[in-house]
Amino acid sequence: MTRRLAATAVPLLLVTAGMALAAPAPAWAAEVFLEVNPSTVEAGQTVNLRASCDDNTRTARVESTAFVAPVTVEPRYGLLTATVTIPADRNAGDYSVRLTCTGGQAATTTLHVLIATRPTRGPATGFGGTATGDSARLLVGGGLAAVAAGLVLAMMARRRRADT
Amino acid sequence: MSSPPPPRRGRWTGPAAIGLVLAGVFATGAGLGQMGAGMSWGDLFNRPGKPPPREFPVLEPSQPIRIAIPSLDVRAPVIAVGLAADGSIAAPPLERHTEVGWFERGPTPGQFGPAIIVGHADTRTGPSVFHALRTLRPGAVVEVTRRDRTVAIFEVGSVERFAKAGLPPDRVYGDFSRPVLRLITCGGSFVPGEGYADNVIVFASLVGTRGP
Repeated sequence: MTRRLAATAVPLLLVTAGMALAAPAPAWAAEVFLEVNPSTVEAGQTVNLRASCDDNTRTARVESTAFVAPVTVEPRYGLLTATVTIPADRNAGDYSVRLTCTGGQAATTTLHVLIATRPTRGPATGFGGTATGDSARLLVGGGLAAVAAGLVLAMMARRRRADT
Repeated sequence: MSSPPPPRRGRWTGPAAIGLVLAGVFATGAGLGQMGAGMSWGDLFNRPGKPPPREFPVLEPSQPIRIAIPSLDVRAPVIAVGLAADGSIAAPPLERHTEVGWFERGPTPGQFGPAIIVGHADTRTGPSVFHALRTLRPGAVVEVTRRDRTVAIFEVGSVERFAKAGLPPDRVYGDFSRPVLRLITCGGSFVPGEGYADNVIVFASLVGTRGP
């Protein structure tokens, strides 16, 4: 066990040392990240990829089993961007999305895919126990009509009194 | 000059007018008192919607377990629901009418997209959990507690009513530009044997989070 650990640790150390020597981090070094927007989408819809590598003037690769094929993110406004459509036949679930920069750096994020379910018929959420009955409607309608009739009569009466 | 109106008729107009107004006010009041899930005074006035915030948080998926609407004094457990036989979103069973159902094929509250929560307006005999939903005002707060113990805080944008046979799919299900919430219950006139003719839908947007 310890030997296997040592065996993997040595090349790792070498690689890290090599990277540190080959690419001294410039002061303006951008953070390496990948964003999918929106991070939840219905299969068949498109998402925007926004990524950043150490060098955002060179394209990078973004891969996911949610995509038909790997996507190239291209320099735009100082970042790397692309738009990708999730095929309609993808299953609902969480998909890992991985960015690989030209310089070898990588970042991952998760895309949540849903199956579009849009019932246009509304749910049955009532049994009528508190429904407005016809009697209530009649009372309101009749009541308002009676008030109006009363007011008209009152006006007529005042007019006549004023005439005499 | 025509002849003056007969004085007898004139004597009765005043009392008749007063009687009519009094009876009318009484009947209107009694009628309004009987009004239930179908309509309310609020329906008579146009309520302007509240636009969603420019900045908003986004949460990782986690199932909702509780809902609270402080302004309506509603606090209820949330269960997961799927589709009913007629293709509509299933509501919780009648014996669980004090609980609400989260549509499990959609996003969870706090994720991008519209999380949908349905609740009964009434049973055969009395009010249920979402009975007062139609009186909710733009700006009111809806809090959804999730299994990861975070609380997603939504703000109501508008409360609207649609014929049950034709909900606007894009408005209800299509907004993946931010985390939003739709609360759905029944409304409109009640047709015996068929149910309510309309659905009341609350449109809300995520404005904050709390916890865990």
